[in-house]
Amino acid sequence: MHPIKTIPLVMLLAACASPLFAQQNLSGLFSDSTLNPPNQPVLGTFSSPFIVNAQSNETLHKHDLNFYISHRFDDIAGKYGGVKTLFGLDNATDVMISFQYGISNRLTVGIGRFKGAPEVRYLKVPFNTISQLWYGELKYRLLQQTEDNSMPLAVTLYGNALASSMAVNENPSSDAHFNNFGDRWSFMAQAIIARKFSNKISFEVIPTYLRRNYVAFGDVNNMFALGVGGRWQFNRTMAIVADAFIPFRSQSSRNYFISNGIVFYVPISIGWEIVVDGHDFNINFTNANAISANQMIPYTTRNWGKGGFRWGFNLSRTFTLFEGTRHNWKK
Amino acid sequence: MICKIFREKYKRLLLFLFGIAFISSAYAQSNDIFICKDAFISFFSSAPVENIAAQTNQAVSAINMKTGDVYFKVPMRTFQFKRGLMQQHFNTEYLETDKYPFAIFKGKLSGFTLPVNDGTYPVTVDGQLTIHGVTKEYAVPGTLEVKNGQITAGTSFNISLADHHIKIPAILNHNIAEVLAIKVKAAYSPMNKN
Repeated sequence: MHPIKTIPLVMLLAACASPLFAQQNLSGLFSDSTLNPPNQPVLGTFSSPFIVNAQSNETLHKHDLNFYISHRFDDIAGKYGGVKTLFGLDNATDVMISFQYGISNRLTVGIGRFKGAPEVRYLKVPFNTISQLWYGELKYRLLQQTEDNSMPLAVTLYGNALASSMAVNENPSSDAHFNNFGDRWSFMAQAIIARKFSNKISFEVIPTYLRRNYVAFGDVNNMFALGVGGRWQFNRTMAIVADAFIPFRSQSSRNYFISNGIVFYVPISIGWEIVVDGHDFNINFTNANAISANQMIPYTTRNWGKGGFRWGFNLSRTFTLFEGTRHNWKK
Repeated sequence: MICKIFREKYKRLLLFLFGIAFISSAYAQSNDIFICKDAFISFFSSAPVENIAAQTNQAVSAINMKTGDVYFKVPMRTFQFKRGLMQQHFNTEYLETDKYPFAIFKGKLSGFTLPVNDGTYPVTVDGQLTIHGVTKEYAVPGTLEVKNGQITAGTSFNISLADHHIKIPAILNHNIAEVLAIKVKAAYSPMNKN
């Protein structure tokens, strides 16, 4: 055969054979980016809606009911701690019991009760005497961080309202000397800005506005604070978590309290977290007496350096209601 | 001159042959290949404390009926659980779906001969299954149902978590079964109709 005539024959054969090769590469029929879009939300920035005392950016999943209890003991060391109180175990400075419910994957509502952490050491200046607190909260996941960093940050909005049901304090200089129902309330609004930096490390900052309708003389009704929080997961089930709030109290208010022997400190909390499926347990140490941020941010008067820290625990259990209705579940 | 005419003819012939080859190959290819874009995959394990069950209908698959090649691709993030927290832990702690977004199966079907008439055929599927970045050989029985040019395939088999380096935290050792029962169901149509 003339060589030039064999060329089209070879090409024809090659063209006919090519589908045989193409058929072996069925994987090329599907596009990865359609099946698994690169802007998938980052999951599990924090393991639960709480860090230690701060809110994390996490909301509950739809139809999840979270039962959350929290407890703080008295000072471990210093003037009020030590062996005589069994390192603070004799007293509970605050106790919290609450429920949160996921209306959707983005919106969580909650109600609960704090014992409240009134300050018993400075009764000459009764600036913090409120207890028996009821609260309601709303948390909305506004933005989710994405795996391709097209959205590098997660943003969650948080708001709560607290009201005290305690009897009116007769002392007119007390912050519990309520004149009307409105005086019993305080409100907090937060924007929680978080980022999961790796599978092990997450951080967040929490610009906070706190409104207390009725405060003692020298105190401030409106206060801004900046919170920070972080989580370091060091193995499959355990993490170190920490948070702190810097309250921006006016200098005149600060000076007033200092002249009465009262110094406010930055509440700093650190915890050891154990997460097992729906259980989240956390043993923590903090210089804040209060569990409620509405009291913790303005009223932390205990000092880590002088043994003014306590141990406490947070315990939460998540239940899923209406299990079958989350998706179009096929039998 | 003659040479030039010959070249022109030759060019036309070449183009014509190429055209036929191209069309026939495309035709043959799409006629043999069947595609499913909503394959259903579920897994289940029973354990003393809690059963684990999840499912997706967003897996994709293709079969070449001429060669018997089978391909499955499962976007792991699409698995839906009855409990949201379990779904999150599946993605972040167990399957690490940010690192390993897909489970992939590449294999061959055997147990039927061409041409395939309408009917149900017991088949065997041999191939490599990659889950969590770890590949293992599998040979599992399945069924192939052919009806009016549509193909329905189904199989169920077990996988061991350890085979794919899916680790269970020690604290949960007794709560999670070591073996998952997988079910697969896919309805295919010819590619040229897609």
